[in-house]
Amino acid sequence: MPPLARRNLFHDKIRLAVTLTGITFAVVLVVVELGLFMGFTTTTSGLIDHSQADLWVASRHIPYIEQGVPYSERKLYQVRATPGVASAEKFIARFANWKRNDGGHESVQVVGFNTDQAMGGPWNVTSGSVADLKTPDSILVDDLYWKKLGIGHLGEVFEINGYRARVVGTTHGIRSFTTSPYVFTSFKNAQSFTTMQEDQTEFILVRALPGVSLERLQRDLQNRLHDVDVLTTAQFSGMTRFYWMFTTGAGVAVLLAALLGLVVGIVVVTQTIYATTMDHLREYGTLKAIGAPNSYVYRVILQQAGISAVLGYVIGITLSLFVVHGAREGGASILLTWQMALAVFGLTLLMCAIAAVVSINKVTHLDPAMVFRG
Amino acid sequence: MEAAIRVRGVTKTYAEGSARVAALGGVDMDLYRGELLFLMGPSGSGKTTLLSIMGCILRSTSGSVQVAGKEIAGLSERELPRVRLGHIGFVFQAFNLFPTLTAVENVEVALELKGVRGARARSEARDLLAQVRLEDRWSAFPADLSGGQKQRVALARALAGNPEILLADEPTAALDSHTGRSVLELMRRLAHEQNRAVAVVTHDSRIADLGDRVVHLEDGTVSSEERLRQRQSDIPFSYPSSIPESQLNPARPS
Repeated sequence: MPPLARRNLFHDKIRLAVTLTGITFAVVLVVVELGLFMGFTTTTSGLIDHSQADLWVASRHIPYIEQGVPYSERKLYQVRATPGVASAEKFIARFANWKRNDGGHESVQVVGFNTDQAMGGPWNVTSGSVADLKTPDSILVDDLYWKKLGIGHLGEVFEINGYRARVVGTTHGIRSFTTSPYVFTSFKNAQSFTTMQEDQTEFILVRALPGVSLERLQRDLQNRLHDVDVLTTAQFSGMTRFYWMFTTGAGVAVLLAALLGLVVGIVVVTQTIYATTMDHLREYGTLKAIGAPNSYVYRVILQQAGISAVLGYVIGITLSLFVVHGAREGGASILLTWQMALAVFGLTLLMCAIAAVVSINKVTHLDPAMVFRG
Repeated sequence: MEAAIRVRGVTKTYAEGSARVAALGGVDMDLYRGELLFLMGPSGSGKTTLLSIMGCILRSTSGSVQVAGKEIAGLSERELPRVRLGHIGFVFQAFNLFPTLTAVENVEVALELKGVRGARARSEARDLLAQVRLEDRWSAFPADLSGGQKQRVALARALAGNPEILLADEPTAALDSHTGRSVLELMRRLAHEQNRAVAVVTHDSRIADLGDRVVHLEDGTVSSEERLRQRQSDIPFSYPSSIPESQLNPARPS
């Protein structure tokens, strides 16, 4: 087949640049907004998702993890005594005041867990270790927030709610959805930092014995314990995500922005592909006049749209990778997975196909007799 | 002898707002193989409308049009392009070449529509360009060709698939008189040497002597008809050796 579609597309370099700019813009906008949504969503439930627990015991009707209310740690022993429980540990995630050495104050979220167990601890530890947290006052802080918290080096000492805190290690990439960075420490230290009573805990993390039905264990624990909710990790993660993303409106805003990006992209691409079609209308009229069926002309237009989609996507996704990388360095959380990249590719093809359909509609009603008009 | 195109009582009315304008008011005429027919007349006389109807591009309001013996009045919108593709080649006033394709690719598009693809399409396209004496310009883009050369490419494209009918709308209008005459001579050759039915809409009286027959239109009707020379179907016929075998029409005049 003579390369009519490709030649038409590449013939007018400026028009091509405008088309590709439109598609690229749409791709970047959708990737960034969807990535932000995914990043935010993942970040809100990061502590829960990485907890390695099967079940969470939380005070009644809390909508998300940051709303935990302390309760008696006696429940821990009731949980441990329940058949099917492999282990159960106390866990804290509470806000506290961080005093910088320059006198400034920041809010942090103290995460306290049993340092002898893996449940509830930090991940991506890049310096120091969880074992270092066994020493009194020691804390781990993600390197993303060192500047914000005024941390200059390991071993530096700060104050959390008036208690001494010493930075013994760092993690990388553990973001907090709120403006308060996570500070990982032992459960004992966390009780001090958050001025919680010694016989209280905020959550109990439960791991089931292998082969035990989680549903059944959840039901048994719920029946055995009073004034608390027993949630699977997935349930609690979902509740937390839903709260932050939809109840607060933050997620809706990001989703709307992604949708807006898509709409703007479709409009820009439709307009440019339509304009390209209009530029070549006489040629399509000629094709129809010499006997080309509509399907042949459609193929040419769809090929043009397809080539535009692929080129625009390649440029757009490359730019998006730079944006995602830059955002990571800048503290924003934009998640770009290969599944999302694939989905956006599909979306780009769809967007260009919609644009092509508008043009096709015009060509369908094209009167081949136009070729005789001068 | 059977006409390649037979037009009987054809009318065409256009709607212009609430008014109806008659472009053709009952035209009878035939186009025969082996002849070069000129449709002449002043602007607005209905020449191009008649050519469009003969070419199955426009539907008549009433009357009968037969192309290659087949009545086209009742054909669907899907069937009309097939008739065009199978029987008719078009040459337009403004050449209507695809500017982003080379000369040979322009011809290949038409061949592809007729089911000829790949190396065979390239070979046939080059043969057709050679037939219009453009063998050395096959890789040129339309922008790099003169007006006469563009019209020759358009002619080669119209010949793709070996249609028995060629319809041309003001093919010399955008050319100087010398070039226009040479293009018309080429079309006459195609009519006479290849036994094609060629109809040309023109208002260029300088080339009228090249035709075999002239039909004059005025106000949408045939006002007069003059035969300039004997129809080619009545004279001895021979194929020139320069025309490729695949482009030869096996149907010889009786």
